[in-house]
Amino acid sequence: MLPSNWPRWITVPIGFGVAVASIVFGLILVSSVQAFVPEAEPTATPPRIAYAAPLSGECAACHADQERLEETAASAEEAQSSYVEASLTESTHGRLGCVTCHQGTPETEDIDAAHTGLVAEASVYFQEDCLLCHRELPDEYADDNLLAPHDAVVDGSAEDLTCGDCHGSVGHGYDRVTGEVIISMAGCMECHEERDLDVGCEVCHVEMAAWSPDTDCALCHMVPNVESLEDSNLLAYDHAQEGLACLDCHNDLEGLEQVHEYAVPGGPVSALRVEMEFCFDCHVANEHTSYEQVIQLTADLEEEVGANPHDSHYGEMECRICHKMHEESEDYCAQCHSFGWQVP
Amino acid sequence: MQTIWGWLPAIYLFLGGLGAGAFLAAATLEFTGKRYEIDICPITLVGAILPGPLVALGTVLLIFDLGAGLREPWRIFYMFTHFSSVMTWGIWILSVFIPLSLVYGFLEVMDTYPMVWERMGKRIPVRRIKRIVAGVGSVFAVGTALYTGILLSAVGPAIPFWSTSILPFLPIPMMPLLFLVSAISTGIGLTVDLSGTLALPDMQKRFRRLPAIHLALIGIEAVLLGLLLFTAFAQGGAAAQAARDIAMGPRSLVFWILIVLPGFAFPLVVHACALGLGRHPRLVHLGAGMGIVVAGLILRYLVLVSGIPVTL
Repeated sequence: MLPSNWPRWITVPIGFGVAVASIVFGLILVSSVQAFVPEAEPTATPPRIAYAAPLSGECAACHADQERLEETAASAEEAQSSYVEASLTESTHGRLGCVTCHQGTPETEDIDAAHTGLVAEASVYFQEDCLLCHRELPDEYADDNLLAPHDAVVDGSAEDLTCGDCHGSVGHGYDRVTGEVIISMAGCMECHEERDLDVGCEVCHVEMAAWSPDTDCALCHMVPNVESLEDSNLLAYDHAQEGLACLDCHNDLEGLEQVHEYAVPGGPVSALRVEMEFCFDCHVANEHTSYEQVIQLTADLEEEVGANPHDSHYGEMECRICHKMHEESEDYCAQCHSFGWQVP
Repeated sequence: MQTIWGWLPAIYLFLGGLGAGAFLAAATLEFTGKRYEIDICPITLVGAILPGPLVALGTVLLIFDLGAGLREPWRIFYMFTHFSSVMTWGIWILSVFIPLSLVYGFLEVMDTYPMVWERMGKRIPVRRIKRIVAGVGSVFAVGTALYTGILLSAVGPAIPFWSTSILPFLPIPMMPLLFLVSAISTGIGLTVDLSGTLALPDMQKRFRRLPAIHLALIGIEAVLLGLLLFTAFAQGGAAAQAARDIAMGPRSLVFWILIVLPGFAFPLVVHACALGLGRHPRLVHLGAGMGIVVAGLILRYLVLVSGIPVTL
């Protein structure tokens, strides 16, 4: 290939030339090919704190291990409060590494040394680090009709407020505001009361006057009604598990519209009083379709206990008298008798 | 602060891989004895002399890219003792590999052109020393090539595509392996395909098994690249987005035309024909070698620019 009178060592500079040329070549090729396709989105800036990622290691060795915590912690409460589920180190915030937010000394197994310089409430000291990623913090959340005074917190005019005051242990999978685990307006209220701030609805909620069947009931009726759908001791839970929504039972839309028209925040809420036929409509599968059937279903209690709850001296009784939805069911008979029935 | 991973890191990862691969190619000829069938072997000359300068050049670019290089050059020395960091592994590997490959190049020159040294009167057991250097150096060459990928997978949590595992259920990072195989390919491309074909008239007769080795390497690399995209897709999120960009999104033209075509498809056809027919035109062989080298660089560039950070 090369002229035969050329020395073979010439391949060394040629090789070096090829390596350099292929770089130039590659640069030109890629930019000319890329010219034919629409401009690709530029690679975003990897957040600088992401480089701290592997720093959870030694912390997780204790804090994700209940037994080791109990051995070393001063009390069982302390062990419990400093326990971190291992899976959380894989969460978005967890992947930043414990040390990124909580400081301390990584890479040591000495407990005292590890906790030197530890910061429990990270955002008090490192608010800027939160803002590194969470750059756009609006004051109004149109989708939720909510106000949140982020500007005042960020520029410091909201006195002593920090991210953590509202967003608490968001790094540990639970956000007091958006509530991956729970939603609690009560937290907002509590703090407002403590600080002697206005607690009127309009302080945080915008345009909440008009009620419509699409309005999220939880906005106002979280406690105790909507919350009760999560309590497995209550019948509301079983109904929710079957896929029923609020309006499936509370289905008098005209009536709802009327009561909401003049409703005031914190005003009285009247319970829905359903007739037994309403229950019978759905309870076909477990043969609760007539009062006679219901009597039959508990007929064996007559022999066991000496009385049938559904066949009493009161005659036909409405289901709701004993079987409650959003509160615990009640043994109505127990006012006088002691049959010891467990009312579902 | 690292803003965009683009050409500069792509070039030093490429140079590191190319140097390591070339060293391995030369060391292989050394150990199989093939090198001693020819007095002046252009393959081992290139494969022994170039890795030192290539990897050193890459390291200079790396230090430059670190940012502290010019203002506080002494900071690089802190990295030698920070043992929990992958950067420290890298700096040790490079610190051993660069001098070893420079020594290897020097010994190869001594062996190839003995007149100068023999005139000095002393006889040095050049070949024996060279073998030891080639052996130890090979370990560090593999380390260097792997390291170019480890560096990326270490940034993993921030950029999931780079830490994509070999298989969805096998949590071993793919990048080190892919970069090792690619490094060997580019190294053979530079030493054997390019230098060998240019300077050895009887290349094909001498290296009959070469097309089969080539086919195996290209095949493995293609499978690894395919798995990378597959696993990234299976992983979802930012990694899947990166894989989508590469396979069918805004970067697909670069991927298919500048990597798959010259680095995989063309060499595959060329070497498959060579295996079947027993020979192939030299110009085509040169083209395949060049294609593999350039595709190696562009592959690294594409992997780097396609890394999408996690949304926090």
